[in-house]
Amino acid sequence: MTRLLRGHPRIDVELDADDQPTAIRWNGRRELVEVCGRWRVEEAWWRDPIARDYVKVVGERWLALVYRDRIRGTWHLERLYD
Amino acid sequence: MPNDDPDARSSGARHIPYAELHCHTNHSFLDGASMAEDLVRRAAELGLTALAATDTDGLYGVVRLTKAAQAAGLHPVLGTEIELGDPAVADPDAVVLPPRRPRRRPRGTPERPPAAEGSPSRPRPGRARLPGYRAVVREDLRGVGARARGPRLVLLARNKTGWSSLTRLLSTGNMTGSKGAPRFDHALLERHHVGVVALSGGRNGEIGRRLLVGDRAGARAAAERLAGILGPDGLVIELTHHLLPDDDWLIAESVALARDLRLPVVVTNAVRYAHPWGRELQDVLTAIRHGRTLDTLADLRRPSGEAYLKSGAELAALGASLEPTVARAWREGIEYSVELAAACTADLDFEQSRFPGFQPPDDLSPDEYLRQLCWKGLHDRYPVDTEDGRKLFTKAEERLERELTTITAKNLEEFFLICWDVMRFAREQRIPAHGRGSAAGSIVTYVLYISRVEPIRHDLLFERFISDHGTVFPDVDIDFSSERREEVIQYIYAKYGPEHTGMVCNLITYRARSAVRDVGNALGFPRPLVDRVAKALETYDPVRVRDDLQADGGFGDLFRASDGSGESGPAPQARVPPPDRASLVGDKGGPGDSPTSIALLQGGSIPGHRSGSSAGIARRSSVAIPHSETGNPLAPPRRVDHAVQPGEGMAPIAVRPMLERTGRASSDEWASDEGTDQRRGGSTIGLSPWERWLELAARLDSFPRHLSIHSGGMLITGRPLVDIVPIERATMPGRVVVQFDKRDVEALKLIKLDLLGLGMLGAIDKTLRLIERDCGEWPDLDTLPEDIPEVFEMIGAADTVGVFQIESRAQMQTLPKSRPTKLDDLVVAVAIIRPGPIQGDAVHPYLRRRQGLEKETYVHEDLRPILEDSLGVILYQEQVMRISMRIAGFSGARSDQFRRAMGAWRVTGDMDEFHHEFVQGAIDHGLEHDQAEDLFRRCAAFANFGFAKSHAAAFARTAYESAFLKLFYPAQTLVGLIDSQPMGFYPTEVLVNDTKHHGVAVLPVDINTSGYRTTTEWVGEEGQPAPIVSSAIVVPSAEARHQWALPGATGWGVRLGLHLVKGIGEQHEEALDRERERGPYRSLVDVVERTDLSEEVVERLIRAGALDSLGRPRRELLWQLREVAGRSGRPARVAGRRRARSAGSADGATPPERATPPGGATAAGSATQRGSAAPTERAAPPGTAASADGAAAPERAAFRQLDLRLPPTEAPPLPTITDAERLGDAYAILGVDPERHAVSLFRPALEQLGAVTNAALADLPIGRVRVGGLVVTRQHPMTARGTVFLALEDETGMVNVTLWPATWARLRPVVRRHALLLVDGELQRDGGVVNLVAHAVQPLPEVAGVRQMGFAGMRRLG
Repeated sequence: MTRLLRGHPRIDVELDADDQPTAIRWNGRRELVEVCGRWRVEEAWWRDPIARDYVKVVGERWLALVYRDRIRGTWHLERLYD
Repeated sequence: MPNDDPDARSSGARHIPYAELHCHTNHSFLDGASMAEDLVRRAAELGLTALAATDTDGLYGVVRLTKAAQAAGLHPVLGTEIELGDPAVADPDAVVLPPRRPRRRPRGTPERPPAAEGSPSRPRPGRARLPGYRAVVREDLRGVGARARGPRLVLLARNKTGWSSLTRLLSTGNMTGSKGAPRFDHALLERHHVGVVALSGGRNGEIGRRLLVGDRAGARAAAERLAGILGPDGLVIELTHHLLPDDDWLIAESVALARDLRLPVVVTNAVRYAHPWGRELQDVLTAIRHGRTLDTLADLRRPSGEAYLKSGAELAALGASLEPTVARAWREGIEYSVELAAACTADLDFEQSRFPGFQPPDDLSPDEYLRQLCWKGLHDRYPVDTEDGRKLFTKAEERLERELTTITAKNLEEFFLICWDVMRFAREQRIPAHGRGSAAGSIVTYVLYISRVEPIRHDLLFERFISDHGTVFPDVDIDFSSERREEVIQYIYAKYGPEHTGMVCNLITYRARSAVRDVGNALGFPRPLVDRVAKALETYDPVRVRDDLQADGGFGDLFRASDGSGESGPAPQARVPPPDRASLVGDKGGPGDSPTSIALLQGGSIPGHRSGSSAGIARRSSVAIPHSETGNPLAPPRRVDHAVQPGEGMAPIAVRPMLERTGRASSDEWASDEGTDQRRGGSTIGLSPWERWLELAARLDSFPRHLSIHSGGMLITGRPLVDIVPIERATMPGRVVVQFDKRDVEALKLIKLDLLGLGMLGAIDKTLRLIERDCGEWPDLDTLPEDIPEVFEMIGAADTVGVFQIESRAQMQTLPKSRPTKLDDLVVAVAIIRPGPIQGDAVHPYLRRRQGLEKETYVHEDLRPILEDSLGVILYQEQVMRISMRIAGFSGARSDQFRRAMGAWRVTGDMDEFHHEFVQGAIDHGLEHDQAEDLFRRCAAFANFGFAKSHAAAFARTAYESAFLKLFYPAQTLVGLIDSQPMGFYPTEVLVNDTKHHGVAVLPVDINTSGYRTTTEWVGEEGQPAPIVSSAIVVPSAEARHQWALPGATGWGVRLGLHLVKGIGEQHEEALDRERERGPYRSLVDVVERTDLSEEVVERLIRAGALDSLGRPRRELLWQLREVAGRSGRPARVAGRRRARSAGSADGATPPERATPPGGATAAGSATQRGSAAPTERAAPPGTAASADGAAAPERAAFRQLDLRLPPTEAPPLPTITDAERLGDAYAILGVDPERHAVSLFRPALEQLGAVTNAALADLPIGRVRVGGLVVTRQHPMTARGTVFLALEDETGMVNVTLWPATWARLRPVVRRHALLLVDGELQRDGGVVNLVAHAVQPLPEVAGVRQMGFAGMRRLG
């Protein structure tokens, strides 16, 4: 099962020197993670632009899909794989 | 994650050398969003070592890219990207294309069994794979995305051999495929691979595709096969990282494969645009290509926006997330790109192969043969029977010798022989032709009968044509009569062979209207709105679109973007209801309209639309466009406010600085004072939808859209054409077109021959034929004396409607002032009304000097000999060159470069260096700085819009001849002109009226007298109307006629032909003319039966008055038409007969029913007819029935005669048609009414309103006047800076009306919508030229209180 999170809540992400996430924090929890995939989405520039760098991260408890909103510079959690 | 900002990265990080080897320019036709020049500029900025042009299926962009790259010091790599129609290795599963919509597996069907033993395991065996078949060859690839098409392969030319391989490969592929869908396969690649290196094509290559679906063995086999074809170093595995989810993985797989097979890897970025924001235009292009809107394009768009030019460092950074071994290969790939680029050394110099072969007879060398021909021609052209003749001959001899020496030195003999041969063929076939262009100035072309203007007496120079400086290429343009040019082209094909002959292409590029239309549609604006906006465009100058829209009532307001918050709603928002809304109201919208858009169309505002959407992004930046009615809307200050701070350390992507103004920007400066580019550059995110629309349209402007055949550029090469240039199918069957346009061909240093069709030569040809028919003799124009005073009198009176080159309104305004009296003056007249001299402020000084109102002055004595014959103004290209040599000290080669730069600077903008050099040189020569600047400005403004003198001379000669014909043979001339329409400056109606004013009867269309074509008809002197007496109308005296015209030239009227009736086309010509021969039509039934015309067309004939000679009123004929046409409805009759035959006997039970009442159902009539047909046929009289099985048409006619026994129902008494109706019909159907001018209907009203006739204007004092008339032309010359000129015609003649820009802005809606106008204005007279400066314009019918005008009052222009 995966959970698609409504509203893509903001999270805090700890980055290493290469701007790769090393840990994410959400709801008061902190999870050390490793990156296992990345891609970029730039869409809908003509109406409501989306520009995101997606990172799929895996930690001890979570396999999560997070992204950085490149327009606002914020990190969000989009999906949790159980 | 890589840094977002390429600029920061490229400057900050250490430099990593890189060459981009996979790059599409906009010559990939809607699959590349940057011009070659922009790409080169960006590549140079990024410090790339080389840049390749790899356009789709062709080499369209290489020449431009090469030129730009060489100028920028960048190494160009020449290549292409092709689509292979077959996979290198057959798929073991013979997998088919993935359907465009995923097909559901029916319930219960088992999963596909796993692939056969031995084939590799696949992650998802059930899923259709993507090996890249294109199941069927489709010409229309709309809706077919890249994934569903064949695999791609990038090919680069290593050297000249490689180039030839590419051209041959592309040519063959293009010729075997259909137009726009070439076909390439591996067998073809195998034939043409020498010197070619292939890049595997990334994820769209076969190898990448197989890897992506897990078919490692297949990928390996494909790579082996390709490597087998292309040789050990012919295949390179291409690595591209576009930040897609599986790119890391695909690169790892590709690297492993390459390592396995010991193939090199190279990194490319599959570039399609220069800057990141190019992606937006790229998406729009994709939408246009597939005919969709952006919103419905998800399946066809490229998924990422990463295909911009990246620097080596930027690409290297992408390797950070790869596994160490792969990352190493990635680095090697970047390094290898440099190495590979350096190894690709093909260039585009084909000077050696530019000479086509010409085989002289009798084993002569081309040189000997040319001399032989020239000497023979010299004796013919220069008779020595007089003292003067002998003198001239000596001069000519001397000059010929000099020219021949140069030609021999340049190896151009064969070129001249080819021209001579073409002209010889044309003369033999009696195809009217004249040579012009720079070549026409040489005596060689004169004695070879290529040009017709004697160069010595007219002081034409040879130097511009071929100078010793070596850079000038001979440029011979030959004009032929348009209809017969094809014969000449066929002759050349036959003579030199298709291998060596090709037509230069013409690149069809986007212009304002098409760009706005396509972008609007792609952005999803409602279609009716897009149409409306596109139609509102007044000029085709794309950067002025915005002005136009603002000027055209209403649309400007849509661009008044709101303050504070940007709009980003899907529908365009109109904050201020447009004042012109009335015209929008009532538009019901069309397909693709949403309720919102319809509401907008109807009401101008959108119900329930909240301003400022909830999207945060849109608020981040906003645009404020100051709006003013007439103010300068250009370069709107763009206000950017950062409502949200960008994330730390990250550059916001949406807000980019206004970037680079391109070279185009300045192009407008000469045309208008507002010389700013309206393209902002940067992303369009944050703009209002309207702003985005225009912005993208402005960027799309001048992008190539497709190829078409150039009007006449013919390339004849010594080496087979396919070794030098790629060729492809033209739309015309059997015709081959070269993938390069004429500028490209020039850059390749190939020689082309311009064979152009000239409508006027066709018209002259027809006129001459008619004269031969009517007067029994062929007037030989070649021997026409150059000094007939009557002709010059007519030209000086500006009585030149229909005369070649000097018929425009601008010409008519100047001719009375310049009053040419000899051919040399006419040469000036032809040359002066051109954008070049106009912008160089040459016209008015010349006219004043010509009239003796001022003396000519020269800023420097050295200018006198150069400019003397044009009274001190710069008029010809030669003069510009000579000034640059004499005053600015340019070398000959440099001056030619200067001339060329002037022609091309709109595109390339490299005038700056010349500017400095010129001014400095002139100052050194003794000019003041200001004078030097002024001189340069005059030269530069001249640009390429001026004629060469030899060119103007050739035109002047033809103009003179056409003036002669118009003067002495007006009827035949009118026929020639009407037959060659559309051509020239004026519509048929103006030509007809003008001829009538000269006392020539123009007879209406009549089914019993008119043939298909318009022709002359003998009416005798008494049948001619009296010419209008006016100083603007010149009719030759009897003595002049006697002296210059053939006997029997007068007394001819013009009978308009049936072809003028809309709906009658060439397919009817034969039948109509044959039936007319058979005898007069006696009744409507007769017409319907015999002519084979549809009911609608017969109706038009009636309404045009063509059936008046049947002796019945038009309304009665119309009343009966339905019945008559219904009765003889062909399909019904044929069906009836067939049935009767198959039945063996006629079912004659149903008696032929009498007329179905008009207006009754046609179907009923047909049904009845079906029954009655058989007995009728059986009852046919023997004489006609005998032919029943013969040729179709006579049989039909014979059969139908019978219906005559059943006269159509009597019509009730019907009112006769009014004059207004008759006139309206004539205008609507024929476009002309020979009997009455539309304005004459208003004459009583006009008189009441105090308006005068146009003819009367000539004698009125200057001051306020009022006239009424029909707009026949409306012009917005680029050179007039917004002033608009109307030609207003009434029943007595034409008058020129000037609308100053402010007036135009005010009156624009009226003038644009109405053809019949009442104009109040200021009458001006200047040197015999009458001009009306308008103050107020009103629609005439409204003012005159006439509501019903049929079609005549409708807007017909623009």
